[in-house]
Amino acid sequence: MGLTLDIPLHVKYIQSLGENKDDLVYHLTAHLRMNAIYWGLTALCVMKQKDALNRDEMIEFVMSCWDDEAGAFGAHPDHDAHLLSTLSAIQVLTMQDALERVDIPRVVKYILSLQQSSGVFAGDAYGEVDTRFLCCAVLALSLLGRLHELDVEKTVGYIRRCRNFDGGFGAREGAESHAAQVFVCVAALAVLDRLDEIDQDSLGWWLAERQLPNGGLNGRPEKLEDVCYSFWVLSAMSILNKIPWINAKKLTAFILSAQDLEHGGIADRPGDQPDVFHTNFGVAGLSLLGYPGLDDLDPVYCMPASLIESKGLRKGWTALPRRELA
Amino acid sequence: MSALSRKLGQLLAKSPVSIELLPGDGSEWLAEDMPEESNPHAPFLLMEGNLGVPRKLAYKAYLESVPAFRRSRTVLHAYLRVTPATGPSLDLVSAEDVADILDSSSVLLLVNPAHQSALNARKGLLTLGALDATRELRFASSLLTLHEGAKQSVLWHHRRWLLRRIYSLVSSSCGETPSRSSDIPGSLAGDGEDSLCGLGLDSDVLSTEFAIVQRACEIYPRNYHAWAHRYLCAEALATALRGDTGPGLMDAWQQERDRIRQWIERHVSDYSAMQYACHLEDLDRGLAASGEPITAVPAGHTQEKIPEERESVVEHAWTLVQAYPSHKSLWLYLRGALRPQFSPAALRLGSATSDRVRDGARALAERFLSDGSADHGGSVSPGEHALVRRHAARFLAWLSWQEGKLKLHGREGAVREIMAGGGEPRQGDAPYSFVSSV
Repeated sequence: MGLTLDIPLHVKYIQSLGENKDDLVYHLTAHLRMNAIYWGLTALCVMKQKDALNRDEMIEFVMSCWDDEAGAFGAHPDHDAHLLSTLSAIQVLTMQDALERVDIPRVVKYILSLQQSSGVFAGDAYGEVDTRFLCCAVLALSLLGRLHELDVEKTVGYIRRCRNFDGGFGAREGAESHAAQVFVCVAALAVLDRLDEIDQDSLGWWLAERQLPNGGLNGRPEKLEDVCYSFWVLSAMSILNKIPWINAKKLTAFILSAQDLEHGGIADRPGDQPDVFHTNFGVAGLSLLGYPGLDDLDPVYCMPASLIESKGLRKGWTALPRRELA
Repeated sequence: MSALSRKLGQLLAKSPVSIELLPGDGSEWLAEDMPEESNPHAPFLLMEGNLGVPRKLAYKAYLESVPAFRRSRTVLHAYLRVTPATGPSLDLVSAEDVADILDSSSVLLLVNPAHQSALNARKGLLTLGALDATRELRFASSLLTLHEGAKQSVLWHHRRWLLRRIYSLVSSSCGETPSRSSDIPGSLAGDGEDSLCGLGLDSDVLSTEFAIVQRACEIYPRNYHAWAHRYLCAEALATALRGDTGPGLMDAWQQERDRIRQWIERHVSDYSAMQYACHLEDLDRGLAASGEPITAVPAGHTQEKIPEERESVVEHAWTLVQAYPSHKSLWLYLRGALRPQFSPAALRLGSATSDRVRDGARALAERFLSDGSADHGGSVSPGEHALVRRHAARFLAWLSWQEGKLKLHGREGAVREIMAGGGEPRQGDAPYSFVSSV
């Protein structure tokens, strides 16, 4: 097909996202705003256009979401503190080299307070548990340099219980295997140097089965292909050093075909409306696949590889070699 | 708050049997000269407890509720901060403030069921004693009838949070379930743990939960968090059964086992249901292994000959694969059912059946591959042959790998070929050559 990644167009798309603050869509997504900023910034970094968004404005927005009572970040001013938004805030501030703005002891206290007796983490004080939140806690503590305060055995013990008979991992014990949940479990184990807990062949098989004839990846059996799984599945495979188990060429072509070449951005699949979430994970997937002109991405943190390496946090993952620009 | 949002909030507070967002602005069914009496709820529609909200109006109300909720939330937090340590004081919260919080949050949740802060505000009201948990459970049920609502993990958690408030903790431990590792302590349900174990839920409550899950899965197929919630209900039921083998709970357990089989038979592409059935069987085997009378061995019988009221998942999956071999999920169901179970008791019980089915399935898959035109009693339509061969090949590869006959390392190309399915074999090619590789 010969499609290429239209970087300037996608950069413009990301820049345009904050513009219409009166839009219904803007309000309907306020509860995800911190995450959206992280997705936008990460995509820009991978496309080597980090400065396309104003650094100071971004940092001030992040800090405006600080919930001083909780000691953590919400997704938007006047939204409750949560681990999901707290991790995104830490990731954004790390990428913007502004971590000194964070009251690290208080955030660490908040994070650790959310671990349950079973080892899983709640997402907030109201107690919903999910391996996603466990991963957020592990990544956040690691980025803050406080991983040593975590009870590793307890944490790993819970992940072990989420391993299903089909080789995958779920949101909690007894929950269906799901590629996003696989990613969060694998990433957490990678950070904790406990990848030995995984039956790597079984999981590799389950992940490889996500690829559909059209080259796209799905998240569970008999579900549709979706660009975001180009990251969730691919990063897990990268961490397991098994990217060659999937057809990289077909996946690359699939991601590129999901671009909106008129308005910019990448959608979940060809023909659908783009959004910043799929734009980020599409670009992230392409980076892991060695697409030319992109920066290296660390699959464990979904952040620039050079940054993670400079913090001494790089683990033994493998991405496809970066191809030369034509 | 605007009149529109207030009216909508009050309708939502009735906890409608179902809620639906309707296209447009509702003008199609609201004649201008219609008297108020014929539709007192205009511009909304409420028929026999089913609420219809025109999208355009829902969005308008949403935008109006955003600042209203922001104000309400600030007020609520002030109340929460001054709540005496001895417990909530109803006098503290004004009826007006309660109404504002409830109405604005319910409008936000109608359009955006993922709005966690709105849901949290309602929990806050509950902790202040200003909202009734049973009523809120009904409201949560209403939201779960929305297409977007049915899939929200926060709503399922909300139900569990409410159930934990309504029902007291009668025991502190989640019974020993066949766990993935032997070093897991028995106690799961520490304070604040998001589970339903040890709450003393009766069979009616659990049946209601199962019914709500089932409905949510009809509204939103493959509903991930609904199935996760269902497992938590099953786990709670299994735990309760260890302490109380009265007929009510046992009936509920058997009904759930029957229900999932029936669901699978009506939804042969629903792998979520199939993997749940496998998990349920694990729980059931755990109960049998712990000596519960559910699968009591009558005098004179050995363990191997337990008369089963129903076939095992292995037999269920095998029957379905033979009937509908073009459905990938059914082959995965079979693989799941054939995997060695975790409890030694289960291994003893199931091995004869598993061996028979495994051999039968292997033979069937090989027949599908060896003769492309074989249609096995009409179960494969002409257009489906390639698909069935793909599934058969994948199954055989999986079986070979499970039996240690297929090496994957250093053979990434073979893995890709297995996953790609190979398509139609060319004339003269040995079909799916990796299958015979040792």
